[in-house]
Amino acid sequence: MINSQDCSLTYKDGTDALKPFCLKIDKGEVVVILGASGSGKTSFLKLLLGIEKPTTGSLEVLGNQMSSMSTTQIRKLRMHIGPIFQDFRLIEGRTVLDNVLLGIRFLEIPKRERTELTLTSVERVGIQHKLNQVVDYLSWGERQRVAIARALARKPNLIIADEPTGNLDHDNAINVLNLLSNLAGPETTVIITTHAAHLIDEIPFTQIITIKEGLMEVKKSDRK
Amino acid sequence: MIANNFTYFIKETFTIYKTNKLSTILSLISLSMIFFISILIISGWGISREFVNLLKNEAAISVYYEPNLNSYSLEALSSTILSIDGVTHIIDVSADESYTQMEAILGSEAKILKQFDENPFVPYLEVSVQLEDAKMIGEAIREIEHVDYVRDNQTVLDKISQISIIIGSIGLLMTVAVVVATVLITSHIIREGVHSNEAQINTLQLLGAPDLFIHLPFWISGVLISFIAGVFALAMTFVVQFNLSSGGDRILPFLPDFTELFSFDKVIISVILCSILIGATSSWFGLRMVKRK
Repeated sequence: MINSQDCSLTYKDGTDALKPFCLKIDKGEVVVILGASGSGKTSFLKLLLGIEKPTTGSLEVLGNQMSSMSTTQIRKLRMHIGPIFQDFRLIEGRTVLDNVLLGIRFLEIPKRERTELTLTSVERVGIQHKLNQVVDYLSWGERQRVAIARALARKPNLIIADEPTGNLDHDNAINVLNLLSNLAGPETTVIITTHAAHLIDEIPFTQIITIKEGLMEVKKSDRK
Repeated sequence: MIANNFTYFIKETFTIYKTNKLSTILSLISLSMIFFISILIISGWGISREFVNLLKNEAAISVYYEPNLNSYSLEALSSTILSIDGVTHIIDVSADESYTQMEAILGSEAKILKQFDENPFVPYLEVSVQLEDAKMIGEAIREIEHVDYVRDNQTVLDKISQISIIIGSIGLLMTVAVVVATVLITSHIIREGVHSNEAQINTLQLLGAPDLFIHLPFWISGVLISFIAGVFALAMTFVVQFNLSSGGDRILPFLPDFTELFSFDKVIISVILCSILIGATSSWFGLRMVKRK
């Protein structure tokens, strides 16, 4: 699923975002990436999404070598990823239904199945009653659920959630983390980044990656 | 993908217009005016070309021969002239016919002809020629026996040719100017649309949407606005043409009615095709600013 060898990332301005790291994440795993703000968590996610390319070493995501991929190939790879952005990146002025549908419109899914997938995913995150509501008027937690539903509807092989507990209180944060970790399945891997160390005991993760000033430390767990 | 999302693309196109409402309206007005002016100029060019061709076809040289020439010699002279390359037709104009023609041209002023005791006109041969060969034909006729004088109106014919070239050049320049202006305006609308929807475009790129899916609504919006502007311009042209054709007497009675030279069907097809083509090209041009991520 994800495999890296001495992979590092240095930005154009010379900032060492990630120091060389080796990593192996298999199908069905729930991986937590823990680190303070600016530690390199988002940089790692950028590598996984192909927004940035490794400066050194190799990184393989879903069987694709990220260093040698063209923009078109990266777009195709992203079709198999369900990203949940820190700021959600929902389309303002559109309904919950429109937002979730927009994430799968360009995938090769028949029209009828598209609607079914959308409805199933919004039900799974518990916002089916807000289906026709414009996202601008939803609460922070509801917007986050829309973002999760959009990722889920894509039936991705890899779900990436960037700081999903950012603005939530303890109980809601636990709910969201449980919801995300439950999305993992035989064909789906979940990667969650967080700076809230006190919450990770609540997640049934398989690996925890701690990042500090760009340096990664990987710990396996048998908690799942 | 396109067929599956057809309604979405159309809906998105109108969302792009709504997001930039004022800019869309102003651009539509500008494009309509540009198309309208260009239709007038290009039609004017077309009409003037038709007009010049008409005049060219009517280009004639007057050949005056010796007064005492018998009918046998006159026939021989006509045959010799007709055998020259570029001569299309010869009419033997008698002195009386010449007098009648002048009466028709002068109209109410023809009374001046009454001042003469005798018919002041002499018979001549009216030789119709190809305009481009007129000079050569005139020189050739002057060399023929029994020819007294040749009036070829070469200066006038040369001027007509020059006017045709000048109008053609102006038309060409205006066409280029119109295409450039339309491309700039339409691509600017697309750029504004892209700028206003930058966040959405970025999100779609991160979700893996192909460029075709992201660009298509913008592309449709460019083609559609250009097409609508073309239709508006046609409506304005129709109004102008209708007013001119129902305007009564012609300004110069001996010139052909220019509205008869104006083919509205051709204009409709040309404007529709051009507006779609220019809209498509401009949209493509405007979409080149979208950064691929």
